[in-house]
Amino acid sequence: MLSLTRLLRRLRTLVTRKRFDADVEEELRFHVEMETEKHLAWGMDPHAARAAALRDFGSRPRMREEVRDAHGMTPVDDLVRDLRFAVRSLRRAPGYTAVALLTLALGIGGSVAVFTMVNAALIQPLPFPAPDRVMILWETAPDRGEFPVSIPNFRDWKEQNRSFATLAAFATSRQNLLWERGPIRATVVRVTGDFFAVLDVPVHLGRPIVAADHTPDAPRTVVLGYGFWQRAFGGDPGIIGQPIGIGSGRDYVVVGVMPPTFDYPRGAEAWASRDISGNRWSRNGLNEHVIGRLKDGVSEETARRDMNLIATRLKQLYPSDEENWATATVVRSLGDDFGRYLKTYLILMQAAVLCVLLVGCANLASTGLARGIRRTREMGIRTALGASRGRLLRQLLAEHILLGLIGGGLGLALSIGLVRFFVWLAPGGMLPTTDLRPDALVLGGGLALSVGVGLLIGILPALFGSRFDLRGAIGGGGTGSAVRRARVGWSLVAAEVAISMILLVGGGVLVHSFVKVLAEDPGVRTDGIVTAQIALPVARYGTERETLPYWDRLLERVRVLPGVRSTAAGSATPLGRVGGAFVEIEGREGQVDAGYRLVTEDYFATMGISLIRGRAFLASDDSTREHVTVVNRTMAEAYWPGEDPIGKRIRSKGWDNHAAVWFTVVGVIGDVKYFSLESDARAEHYVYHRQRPERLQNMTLVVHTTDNQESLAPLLRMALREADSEVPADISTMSGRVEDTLQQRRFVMTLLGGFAAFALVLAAIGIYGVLSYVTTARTREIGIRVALGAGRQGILALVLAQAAGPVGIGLLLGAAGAAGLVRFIESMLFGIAPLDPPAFAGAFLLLALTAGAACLVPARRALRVDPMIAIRAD
Amino acid sequence: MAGPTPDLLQGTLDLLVLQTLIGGPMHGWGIAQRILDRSRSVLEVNQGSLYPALHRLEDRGWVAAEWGTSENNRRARFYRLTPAGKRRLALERAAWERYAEAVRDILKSPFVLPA
Repeated sequence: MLSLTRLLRRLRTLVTRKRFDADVEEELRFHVEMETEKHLAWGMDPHAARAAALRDFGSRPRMREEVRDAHGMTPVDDLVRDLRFAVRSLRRAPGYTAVALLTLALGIGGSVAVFTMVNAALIQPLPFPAPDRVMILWETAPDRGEFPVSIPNFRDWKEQNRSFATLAAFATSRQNLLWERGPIRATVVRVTGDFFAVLDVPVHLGRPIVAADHTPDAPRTVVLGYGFWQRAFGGDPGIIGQPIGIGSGRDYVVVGVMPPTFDYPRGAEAWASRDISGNRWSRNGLNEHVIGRLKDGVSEETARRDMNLIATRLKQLYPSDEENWATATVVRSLGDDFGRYLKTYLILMQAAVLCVLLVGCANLASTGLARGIRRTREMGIRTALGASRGRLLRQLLAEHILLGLIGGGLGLALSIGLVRFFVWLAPGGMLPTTDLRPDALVLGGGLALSVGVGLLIGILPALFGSRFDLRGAIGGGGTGSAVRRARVGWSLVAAEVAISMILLVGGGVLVHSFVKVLAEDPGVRTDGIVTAQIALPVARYGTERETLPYWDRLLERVRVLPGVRSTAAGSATPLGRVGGAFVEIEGREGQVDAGYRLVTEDYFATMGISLIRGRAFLASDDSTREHVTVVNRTMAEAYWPGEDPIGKRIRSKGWDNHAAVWFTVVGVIGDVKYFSLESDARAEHYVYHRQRPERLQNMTLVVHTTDNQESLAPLLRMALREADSEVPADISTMSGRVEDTLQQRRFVMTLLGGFAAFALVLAAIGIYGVLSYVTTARTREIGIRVALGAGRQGILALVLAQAAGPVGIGLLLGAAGAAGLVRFIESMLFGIAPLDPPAFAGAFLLLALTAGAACLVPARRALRVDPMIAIRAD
Repeated sequence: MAGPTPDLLQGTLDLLVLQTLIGGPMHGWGIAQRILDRSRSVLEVNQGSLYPALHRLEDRGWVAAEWGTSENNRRARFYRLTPAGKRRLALERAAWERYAEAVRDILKSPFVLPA
């Protein structure tokens, strides 16, 4: 073991090594002089005296080495020498170095960038104290997946559970915020008292919302997100204590501001207290997300058992589905819950980008092998001069590790930009946006990857470069070694082709799925539709006496705007999630599930929803007339199979004061996609707004315009202001909405496709490189064949046959690997079988063609071989 | 030089160098001369091992080196024993003596050549 003082001494020697070397030199010279004088004193002549002294002394350079060795400097010396040598030899081959660095920078940069996201999303703990104690709870039922929780169930949980120190419910929605400077729209999270106690994050300003804020007569409170506070209130600390209206217009008091790092739930702009007492809540109003902090000493498993016991009890108390869906509870740590959706995507991307890096490494390794051939002579001479095999091995490895380190450094710099690019490309909310700077883990990982990659690309050239037959080497290159190198080179090509095949198939199935998704008919017009989500404050719009005039007023104004062909309003965003409802069908036992939308009369025409049978709503269908409904095709086929649905009647207990009223089906319309293009249509029915006017506070205005959609927005805002100056709206376009639903798919497809394309290019370079090398090595043989009368076709076949084997093997292996991959990403596919023939065939063809193209140049070179020159060449 | 010159036993050189420096600081050449003189020209230190040994001792912290002026007014590197070196010397010396005694005992014991 080195003691500290000794280590320091060594360091000092290292730092002052120039002087140290001079000192040693002088010391040795002094010795020789003293020795010379001694000989002189014995009577030798000066010349002989000095010669004798020098002879006795032996090799001064060797002694110098040994002296330095005594100070533990040899390993450092060797390293410095190896590195210096590596730099020299890399500079001697600038082309190779540039290509290698580019490949490594892109490969390592991509890997580190993806790892930065993996780290932030899956590895780093959430920014809460003791994050593994924070759980999220979902309800679940067979075949219904996991779903949010109802207020009554949440209240029962809170009362009955013995596992959680605190339990909180929250629901997120877009709301109108009203303060002295006018209305704004914001993403507001309505939280119950313990929300901030569960997460336990200190506020930036003021105080958090506390349980006492939730009693029915306490003033309601709101806490602002840091970004929102900056954006909307200019970061004014004076906002604390100010009143703000939210949603229904009731006054809230701003009590606090959260720190910038706090982003839960993702995208939240403000958190508002709420009162969940009273009995206006339905057990099937599944809107609440529930989080809780485990009591000390309670395990996740214990909590799960506890919560499931409660779920079983609740199911016994409220057995029917219309009362209570849930049969069990899911308890999962918040971190796992975050990672759940991203895991497959991130693992896929990380694997893909590492594959690309691997292909790049294979290329560099085989290029290294080929370079090694040209350096055989150099290595031979070194060996002859006494360099050991280990020494050569180290030298060759040092070169590649240096390459890896420089490439890694460039890659790390690149990764910072790449992460920004990924975040820009990714749909909002998909990736965590805070904490995407490289931390120690990312940097360490990048460094390890760089060294690992250096070793990986260096090991083959080093092994081959340091072992050979000396005579052959100095004499002019052994063919045996060349054959072995070629074999290794071709194995690398097969591996590259296999990996590229896997990536191309992966990219292919995603692209094909995307095409299928795009081909899906959303059931509504998407071009020229502008939407505006509007929430009327309940305080001023409590009844139909206020709501109906508002919508009449607004629609009238919008209808006359330039370019507007028609306009309407509906209770749910088109193509968005619709509220579920249980309806009773006349003549049938029990309740059935059917989505429900409230619309104005021109809704179907405006949205381009096709009328299949019967009629749409008419302005004359008011509350004095027979109540009517229009159902979609799926509903008609599901509940009245083989019958004419027109004239059939339905009703629903959930319809406020219309609960007992039968609604007669007057029309059947085409299906509209539920939530996204990818989901199946489901049974839905529409009700005319004048026949249920008490629920018109939250509607989406839809406008069909023939003009530019952007130019309509300011006019629309003006009309909205004229209808009510204190009602803001979120304006967007239908095509934008469709685009939003496609974003995640597009993101993954773009990334995987990009990686696959990169791998393809690398594989082509690899094939080209090995074939060039092999063809060059066989120039003489080809020359002889030409001289003996081989035709052009024969030579071409000879060259191409070499590549065909490895490429073929690679394609087959790759196809097998791809079959595994598509199963892994099956959940990302749409409308195609996992073993999608076009994707597999496409990848196969693309690779085969690329391989063929990569063979062209070496093949042409082979054809131009002049037998006379080739045979004489040696 | 008459008679066989025994090769220095492994590790003995360190002992000899440390012992020599008891008499005060000395440069490399001087150390070699002293060992030669005191051993009545039996032990000739090979320069090839002397300087690496000196630097090894220095690395270990048993001797310290500084530049000084030699008898004939030349700049020379003088080595001097450090306190740690003195402790080391005591240790090595004891070990050596034990070793030498053991060898002597064996040599003194009567033995008969096999017939």
